[in-house]
Amino acid sequence: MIRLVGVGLLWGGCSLWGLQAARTVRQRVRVLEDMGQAMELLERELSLNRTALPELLERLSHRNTQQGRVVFLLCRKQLEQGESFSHAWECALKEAELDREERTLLCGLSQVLGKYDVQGQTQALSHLRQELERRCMRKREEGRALVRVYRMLGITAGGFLTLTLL
Amino acid sequence: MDSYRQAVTILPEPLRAAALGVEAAYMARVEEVRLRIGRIPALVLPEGEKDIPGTSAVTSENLARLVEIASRWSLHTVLEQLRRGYLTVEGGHRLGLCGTVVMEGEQIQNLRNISSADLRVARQLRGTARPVAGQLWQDGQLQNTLILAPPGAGKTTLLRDLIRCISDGEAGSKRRVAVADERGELAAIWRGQPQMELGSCTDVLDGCPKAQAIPLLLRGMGPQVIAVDEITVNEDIRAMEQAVGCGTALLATAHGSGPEDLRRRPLYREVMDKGIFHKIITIQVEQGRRKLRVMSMEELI
Repeated sequence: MIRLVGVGLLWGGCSLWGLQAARTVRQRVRVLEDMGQAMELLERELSLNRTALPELLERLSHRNTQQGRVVFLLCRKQLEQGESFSHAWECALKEAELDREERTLLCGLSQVLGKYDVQGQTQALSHLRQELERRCMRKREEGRALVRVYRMLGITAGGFLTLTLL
Repeated sequence: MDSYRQAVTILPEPLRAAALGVEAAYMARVEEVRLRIGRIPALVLPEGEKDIPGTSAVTSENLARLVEIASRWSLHTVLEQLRRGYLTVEGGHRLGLCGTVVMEGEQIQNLRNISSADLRVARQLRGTARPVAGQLWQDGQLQNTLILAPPGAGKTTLLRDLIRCISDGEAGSKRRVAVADERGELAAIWRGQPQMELGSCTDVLDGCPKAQAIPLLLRGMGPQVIAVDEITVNEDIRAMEQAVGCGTALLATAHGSGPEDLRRRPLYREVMDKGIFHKIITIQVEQGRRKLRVMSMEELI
């Protein structure tokens, strides 16, 4: 009986690890999608309403998923404390599940956002959005294969370990 | 929140902490906070400038951060103001700036390398206009009135209280007042809510140039009185003429040390020649006290 429970736990644990890894891949794609949508909203709000950054960040935090919400809320909070936007944005981005390249790409926004006229900012946002979309598409394709691999790897690793230990 | 404390929240640290650390007796009397690169920050009091204790010389980083905070990290929202050399911040406080002007053709494009800043503390002084408000009426009609005083004498403060008095019916009967608050100093609107008391029958259009705001207000709000701060260009006069033609009374302010300045400056000469205003209020500051005087235009001529 104990052996059976052990087998179940081992298999379950490995499968769970595989599913978790697959989830992380999907999550990263989701964060990129969210960031792309946020850039689009920023672009629209800036060109139509010239909204100030703290209000924009607040609006974005209501429209985003958990990770995006944390990034935008944290950035706004830092601004309230009198930090510069560059510092606030870079700190906030650390909270998002992004790879180094994506983070560097988004960090570049702090050198433009709120520092130039509307046209200059919307152009930069548009370029960034297109770049994010490209990366997102690539990641989505890679992700589809990776999700399957991780899932299968978890389940088979669980099975293999169980058989070995039995 | 006390006006001074609210105004200095836009200062970057450690200047903010030092400004909040000054004695309460000073806080109530501070008119301006002056920041000049390489110099100790100073408070402007009625008797003159006084260094803020416990501060070191202002740096270019301090001033750059000040502009960032004052613009709420959003230069695009204040670029038009910045081109005119100032920013209006939460509470209606005005931040005047000096630096290197970037020109494009004949237009000012931006201000860079900020070298000094002047933070003017906006205060609501209820009752300031009471001694003169009653003198602006004739046969039950509010007369078109120009407030004339040098910078820093309190024109905006007086106009703000005059608007409140007229709107609440404290002087004569209640009037619907529309305010063209181009620089956002009169009403100090924050997220749609005026932070300064302008009376129960007052409508405010802020952020719009006066010349465009006056026709908008005439068409949309049916005002009995239109109030504007600081006449600066010919277009303002054209728009005011239009308002007078519609039977709306006018309240406005202009820079000038006395009535003789009205004749000297071509812009104001035109105002006088066209007979737009019937009353003039002058403000004179003597030993830190303000003296108000109402004159009729006939008297002046």
